[in-house]
Amino acid sequence: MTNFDQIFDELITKTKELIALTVKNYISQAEADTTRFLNESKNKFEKWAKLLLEKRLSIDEFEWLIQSQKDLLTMEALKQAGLAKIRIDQFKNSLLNLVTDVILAAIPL
Amino acid sequence: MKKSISTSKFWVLIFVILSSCSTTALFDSYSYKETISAKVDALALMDKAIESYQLHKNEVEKLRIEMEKVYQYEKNRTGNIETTKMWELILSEEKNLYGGFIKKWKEKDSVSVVFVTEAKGQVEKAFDIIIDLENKKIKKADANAFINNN
Repeated sequence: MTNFDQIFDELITKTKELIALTVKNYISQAEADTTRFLNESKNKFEKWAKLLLEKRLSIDEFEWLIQSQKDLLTMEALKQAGLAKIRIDQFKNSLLNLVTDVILAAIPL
Repeated sequence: MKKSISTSKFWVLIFVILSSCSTTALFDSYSYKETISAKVDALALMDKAIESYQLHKNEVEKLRIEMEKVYQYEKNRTGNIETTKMWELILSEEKNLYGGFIKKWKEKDSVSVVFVTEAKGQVEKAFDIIIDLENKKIKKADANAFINNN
Protein backbone atom coordinates (compact mmCIF):
# COMPACT_ATOMS: atom_id res chain seq x y z
CA MET A 1 0.00 0.00 0.00
CA THR A 2 1.43 3.35 -0.94
CA ASN A 3 1.71 6.23 1.46
CA PHE A 4 -1.03 8.02 -0.48
CA ASP A 5 -3.39 5.06 -0.01
CA GLN A 6 -2.85 5.23 3.75
CA ILE A 7 -3.61 8.97 3.75
CA PHE A 8 -6.68 8.32 1.63
CA ASP A 9 -7.99 5.59 3.95
CA GLU A 10 -7.45 7.73 7.02
CA LEU A 11 -9.24 10.64 5.34
CA ILE A 12 -12.23 8.50 4.45
CA THR A 13 -12.50 7.15 7.99
CA LYS A 14 -12.22 10.57 9.60
CA THR A 15 -14.58 12.20 7.08
CA LYS A 16 -17.22 9.57 7.86
CA GLU A 17 -16.78 10.25 11.59
CA LEU A 18 -17.11 14.00 10.97
CA ILE A 19 -20.29 13.53 8.90
CA ALA A 20 -21.82 11.26 11.57
CA LEU A 21 -21.02 13.74 14.34
CA THR A 22 -22.32 16.75 12.35
CA VAL A 23 -25.59 15.02 11.45
CA LYS A 24 -26.07 13.65 14.98
CA ASN A 25 -25.54 17.06 16.60
CA TYR A 26 -27.86 18.78 14.13
CA ILE A 27 -30.68 16.24 14.51
CA SER A 28 -30.45 16.32 18.32
CA GLN A 29 -30.67 20.12 18.37
CA ALA A 30 -33.51 20.26 15.81
CA GLU A 31 -35.50 17.64 17.74
CA ALA A 32 -35.02 19.49 21.02
CA ASP A 33 -36.09 22.82 19.46
CA THR A 34 -39.17 21.29 17.84
CA THR A 35 -40.27 19.49 21.01
CA ARG A 36 -39.86 22.68 23.03
CA PHE A 37 -41.88 24.66 20.48
CA LEU A 38 -44.73 22.11 20.48
CA ASN A 39 -44.85 22.07 24.29
CA GLU A 40 -44.95 25.87 24.35
CA SER A 41 -47.78 25.80 21.77
CA LYS A 42 -49.85 23.40 23.88
CA ASN A 43 -49.45 25.59 26.97
CA LYS A 44 -50.43 28.73 25.04
CA PHE A 45 -53.52 27.11 23.48
CA GLU A 46 -54.70 25.99 26.93
CA LYS A 47 -54.14 29.46 28.37
CA TRP A 48 -55.94 31.22 25.49
CA ALA A 49 -58.88 28.77 25.65
CA LYS A 50 -59.21 29.55 29.35
CA LEU A 51 -59.13 33.31 28.70
CA LEU A 52 -61.77 32.83 25.99
CA LEU A 53 -64.04 30.91 28.35
CA GLU A 54 -63.63 33.65 30.96
CA LYS A 55 -64.53 36.17 28.21
CA ARG A 56 -61.26 38.02 28.74
CA LEU A 57 -60.45 37.37 25.07
CA SER A 58 -62.95 37.79 22.23
CA ILE A 59 -63.35 35.04 19.63
CA ASP A 60 -61.66 37.34 17.13
CA GLU A 61 -58.67 37.88 19.44
CA PHE A 62 -58.49 34.16 20.24
CA GLU A 63 -58.39 33.31 16.52
CA TRP A 64 -55.75 35.99 15.94
CA LEU A 65 -53.51 34.44 18.60
CA ILE A 66 -53.95 30.89 17.28
CA GLN A 67 -53.00 32.16 13.81
CA SER A 68 -49.98 33.96 15.26
CA GLN A 69 -48.72 30.64 16.65
CA LYS A 70 -48.96 29.20 13.14
CA ASP A 71 -46.84 32.13 11.91
CA LEU A 72 -44.33 31.44 14.68
CA LEU A 73 -44.16 27.82 13.54
CA THR A 74 -43.18 29.09 10.07
CA MET A 75 -40.53 31.30 11.71
CA GLU A 76 -39.20 28.29 13.63
CA ALA A 77 -39.04 26.23 10.40
CA LEU A 78 -37.11 29.05 8.72
CA LYS A 79 -34.71 29.14 11.66
CA GLN A 80 -34.11 25.39 11.37
CA ALA A 81 -33.46 25.79 7.62
CA GLY A 82 -30.96 28.57 8.39
CA LEU A 83 -29.26 26.47 11.08
CA ALA A 84 -28.92 23.55 8.65
CA LYS A 85 -27.06 25.80 6.21
CA ILE A 86 -24.81 27.09 9.01
CA ARG A 87 -24.00 23.46 9.91
CA ILE A 88 -23.04 22.79 6.28
CA ASP A 89 -20.65 25.77 6.34
CA GLN A 90 -19.18 24.58 9.64
CA PHE A 91 -18.81 21.09 8.18
CA LYS A 92 -16.94 22.47 5.16
CA ASN A 93 -14.55 24.34 7.45
CA SER A 94 -14.00 21.25 9.59
CA LEU A 95 -13.44 19.09 6.53
CA LEU A 96 -10.81 21.44 5.16
CA ASN A 97 -9.07 21.43 8.54
CA LEU A 98 -9.22 17.65 8.59
CA VAL A 99 -7.71 17.26 5.11
CA THR A 100 -4.93 19.73 5.97
CA ASP A 101 -4.14 18.03 9.28
CA VAL A 102 -4.09 14.50 7.89
CA ILE A 103 -1.89 15.40 4.93
CA LEU A 104 0.54 17.49 7.00
CA ALA A 105 0.79 14.71 9.59
CA ALA A 106 1.63 12.19 6.87
CA ILE A 107 4.29 14.30 5.19
CA PRO A 108 7.60 14.59 7.09
CA LEU A 109 8.55 18.28 6.80
CA MET B 1 -7.55 0.16 -10.99
CA LYS B 2 -10.86 0.12 -9.14
CA LYS B 3 -9.21 1.78 -6.16
CA SER B 4 -7.73 4.57 -8.26
CA ILE B 5 -11.16 5.37 -9.76
CA SER B 6 -12.85 5.61 -6.35
CA THR B 7 -9.88 7.62 -5.10
CA SER B 8 -10.33 10.10 -7.93
CA LYS B 9 -14.02 10.40 -7.18
CA PHE B 10 -13.27 11.03 -3.53
CA TRP B 11 -10.87 13.86 -4.33
CA VAL B 12 -13.31 15.36 -6.83
CA LEU B 13 -15.96 15.30 -4.11
CA ILE B 14 -13.61 16.91 -1.59
CA PHE B 15 -12.66 19.56 -4.12
CA VAL B 16 -16.30 20.35 -4.94
CA ILE B 17 -17.23 20.64 -1.26
CA LEU B 18 -14.29 22.83 -0.36
CA SER B 19 -14.42 25.07 -3.39
CA SER B 20 -18.10 25.92 -2.98
CA CYS B 21 -18.86 29.25 -1.36
CA SER B 22 -20.41 29.68 2.08
CA THR B 23 -24.15 29.16 1.94
CA THR B 24 -25.01 31.55 4.76
CA ALA B 25 -24.22 35.11 5.75
CA LEU B 26 -21.69 35.57 8.56
CA PHE B 27 -22.81 36.97 11.94
CA ASP B 28 -23.45 40.71 11.64
CA SER B 29 -23.22 42.76 14.86
CA TYR B 30 -25.10 45.70 13.26
CA SER B 31 -27.98 43.42 12.29
CA TYR B 32 -27.99 41.83 15.75
CA LYS B 33 -28.07 45.20 17.51
CA GLU B 34 -30.73 46.70 15.23
CA THR B 35 -32.99 43.66 15.62
CA ILE B 36 -32.82 43.89 19.42
CA SER B 37 -33.50 47.62 19.20
CA ALA B 38 -36.52 47.02 16.93
CA LYS B 39 -37.83 44.39 19.32
CA VAL B 40 -37.63 46.73 22.33
CA ASP B 41 -39.32 49.58 20.42
CA ALA B 42 -42.05 47.30 19.00
CA LEU B 43 -42.96 45.84 22.41
CA ALA B 44 -43.00 49.31 24.02
CA LEU B 45 -45.30 50.61 21.29
CA MET B 46 -47.64 47.61 21.60
CA ASP B 47 -48.20 48.53 25.26
CA LYS B 48 -49.83 51.73 24.04
CA ALA B 49 -52.47 49.86 22.03
CA ILE B 50 -54.86 50.03 24.99
CA GLU B 51 -55.15 53.71 24.02
CA SER B 52 -56.56 55.22 20.82
CA TYR B 53 -54.56 54.48 17.68
CA GLN B 54 -55.03 58.09 16.62
CA LEU B 55 -52.95 59.26 19.59
CA HIS B 56 -49.99 57.12 18.50
CA LYS B 57 -50.19 56.96 14.71
CA ASN B 58 -47.08 59.12 14.29
CA GLU B 59 -45.05 56.77 16.53
CA VAL B 60 -46.38 53.79 14.58
CA GLU B 61 -45.29 55.36 11.30
CA LYS B 62 -41.87 56.31 12.68
CA LEU B 63 -41.22 52.76 13.85
CA ARG B 64 -42.53 51.32 10.57
CA ILE B 65 -39.85 53.30 8.72
CA GLU B 66 -37.13 52.18 11.15
CA MET B 67 -38.15 48.55 10.73
CA GLU B 68 -38.30 48.92 6.96
CA LYS B 69 -34.65 50.08 7.07
CA VAL B 70 -33.64 46.96 9.00
CA TYR B 71 -35.63 44.77 6.60
CA GLN B 72 -33.97 46.34 3.56
CA TYR B 73 -30.55 45.85 5.16
CA GLU B 74 -31.31 42.16 5.80
CA LYS B 75 -32.69 41.71 2.31
CA ASN B 76 -29.45 42.94 0.76
CA ARG B 77 -27.13 40.67 2.76
CA THR B 78 -25.85 37.72 0.73
CA GLY B 79 -26.96 34.28 1.95
CA ASN B 80 -29.63 35.72 4.23
CA ILE B 81 -32.85 34.28 2.78
CA GLU B 82 -34.25 32.84 6.02
CA THR B 83 -33.80 36.02 8.06
CA THR B 84 -35.30 38.11 5.24
CA LYS B 85 -38.37 35.86 5.10
CA MET B 86 -38.72 36.08 8.88
CA TRP B 87 -38.75 39.88 8.71
CA GLU B 88 -41.42 39.70 6.00
CA LEU B 89 -43.57 37.60 8.34
CA ILE B 90 -43.09 40.01 11.24
CA LEU B 91 -43.91 43.10 9.18
CA SER B 92 -46.75 41.76 7.02
CA GLU B 93 -50.20 43.13 7.85
CA GLU B 94 -51.64 39.90 6.44
CA LYS B 95 -49.83 37.79 9.07
CA ASN B 96 -50.46 37.77 12.80
CA LEU B 97 -47.27 39.15 14.25
CA TYR B 98 -46.18 42.82 14.63
CA GLY B 99 -47.66 44.08 11.32
CA GLY B 100 -50.89 42.19 11.92
CA PHE B 101 -51.15 43.57 15.45
CA ILE B 102 -50.77 47.15 14.22
CA LYS B 103 -53.45 46.51 11.60
CA LYS B 104 -55.82 45.24 14.29
CA TRP B 105 -55.07 48.23 16.54
CA LYS B 106 -55.76 50.58 13.65
CA GLU B 107 -59.05 48.84 12.81
CA LYS B 108 -60.34 48.69 16.41
CA ASP B 109 -58.71 51.96 17.56
CA SER B 110 -57.79 50.27 20.86
CA VAL B 111 -57.49 46.70 22.18
CA SER B 112 -57.72 45.00 25.60
CA VAL B 113 -54.84 44.69 28.05
CA VAL B 114 -55.16 40.90 27.99
CA PHE B 115 -54.87 40.80 24.21
CA VAL B 116 -51.88 43.18 24.25
CA THR B 117 -50.11 40.98 26.81
CA GLU B 118 -50.67 37.78 24.83
CA ALA B 119 -49.86 39.33 21.44
CA LYS B 120 -46.67 40.85 22.87
CA GLY B 121 -45.52 37.37 23.89
CA GLN B 122 -45.95 36.22 20.29
CA VAL B 123 -44.15 39.19 18.75
CA GLU B 124 -41.33 38.93 21.29
CA LYS B 125 -40.89 35.25 20.42
CA ALA B 126 -40.77 36.12 16.70
CA PHE B 127 -37.95 38.63 17.26
CA ASP B 128 -36.14 36.15 19.52
CA ILE B 129 -36.14 33.56 16.71
CA ILE B 130 -34.43 36.05 14.37
CA ILE B 131 -31.95 37.06 17.08
CA ASP B 132 -31.17 33.43 17.92
CA LEU B 133 -30.47 32.55 14.27
CA GLU B 134 -28.23 35.61 13.87
CA ASN B 135 -26.34 34.71 17.02
CA LYS B 136 -25.66 31.19 15.70
CA LYS B 137 -24.19 32.40 12.40
CA ILE B 138 -20.44 31.91 12.01
CA LYS B 139 -18.55 34.82 13.59
CA LYS B 140 -16.07 36.70 11.45
CA ALA B 141 -13.32 36.07 14.02
CA ASP B 142 -13.92 32.31 13.69
CA ALA B 143 -13.85 32.57 9.90
CA ASN B 144 -10.58 34.56 10.01
CA ALA B 145 -9.02 32.06 12.41
CA PHE B 146 -9.99 29.29 10.02
CA ILE B 147 -8.39 31.12 7.07
CA ASN B 148 -5.21 31.88 9.06
CA ASN B 149 -4.89 28.25 10.14
CA ASN B 150 -4.95 27.03 6.55
